[in-house]
Amino acid sequence: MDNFVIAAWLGGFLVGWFIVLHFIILGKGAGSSTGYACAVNKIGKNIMGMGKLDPLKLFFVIGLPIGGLAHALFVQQSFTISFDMGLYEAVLPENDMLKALVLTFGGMLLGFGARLAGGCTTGHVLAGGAVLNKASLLAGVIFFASATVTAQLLFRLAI
Amino acid sequence: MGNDISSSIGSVKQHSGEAKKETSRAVLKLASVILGSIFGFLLVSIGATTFDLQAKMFLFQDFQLPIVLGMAVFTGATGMWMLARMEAKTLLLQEEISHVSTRITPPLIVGATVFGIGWALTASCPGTAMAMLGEGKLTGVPVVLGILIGTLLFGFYNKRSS
Repeated sequence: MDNFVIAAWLGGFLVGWFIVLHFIILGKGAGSSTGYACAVNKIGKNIMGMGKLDPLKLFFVIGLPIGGLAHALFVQQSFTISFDMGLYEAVLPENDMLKALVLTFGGMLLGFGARLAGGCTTGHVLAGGAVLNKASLLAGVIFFASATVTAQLLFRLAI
Repeated sequence: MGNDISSSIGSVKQHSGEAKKETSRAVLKLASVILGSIFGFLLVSIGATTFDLQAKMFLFQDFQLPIVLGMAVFTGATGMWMLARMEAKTLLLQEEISHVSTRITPPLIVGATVFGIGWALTASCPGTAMAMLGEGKLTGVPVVLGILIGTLLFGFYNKRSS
């Protein structure tokens, strides 16, 4: 599909060094889920029980789509608006509204789960893994196992 | 007259100290946006935002993403080990590089399981969903919305149980 994907070993190498760079510049591990909590907290800290949040994470999350856009414009050199999910279309409803609903529900599980677990793949697997945090490595294993089992079920049901 | 001068000097010193803090806070915010942009770019480069690769990963047909993650952990751990040996400090503010060691708790296990189900339903995660928005992948919209709602619900739930 995309021939703009770089070799796995190189990609992993670059991501690993990125995580280290993040530690050097900001003094702590990268994370992609805390930024959402920062955004939500703006509704009212006293009605939310988010705990102590790093406010800089919001800016990190804001940067993510900028990078995605940069890749589309400069590497892929095409920007297409699409709702298509390739092979994953088999798992989701054909109807766009239903598909959006399922994606929203899935997002809710991602958001709630990440807060409960104290991080997402970035925070636990990448940053937590880099400091050999046992809890993070366990979280990573469970992320994968749970996702794989669920996905395999979904693909089977789709047939 | 002397008192006026010394108190003026005092307030100038205080203001420049505050100004320095303001500047470094602003620099850190900009640094965070830049780092986020780099990471978003990397996420797309490695194929994390490519739905076919997510599908094939779950079906054990393609190992691009698991290899990336494994290599990233190995490289990151090596880099962090080197930093620790050098007793490195942060670049800008020369502070300690901290890593909080978290404990294995039931919420961690339950949360990770729930997260995994969400990952399987969306072929996305909080980071890739945002990167996808930048690429024009509209599936990012309901996913990001969902993550915000889920986070909100957690906020209410956690407030109630504490």
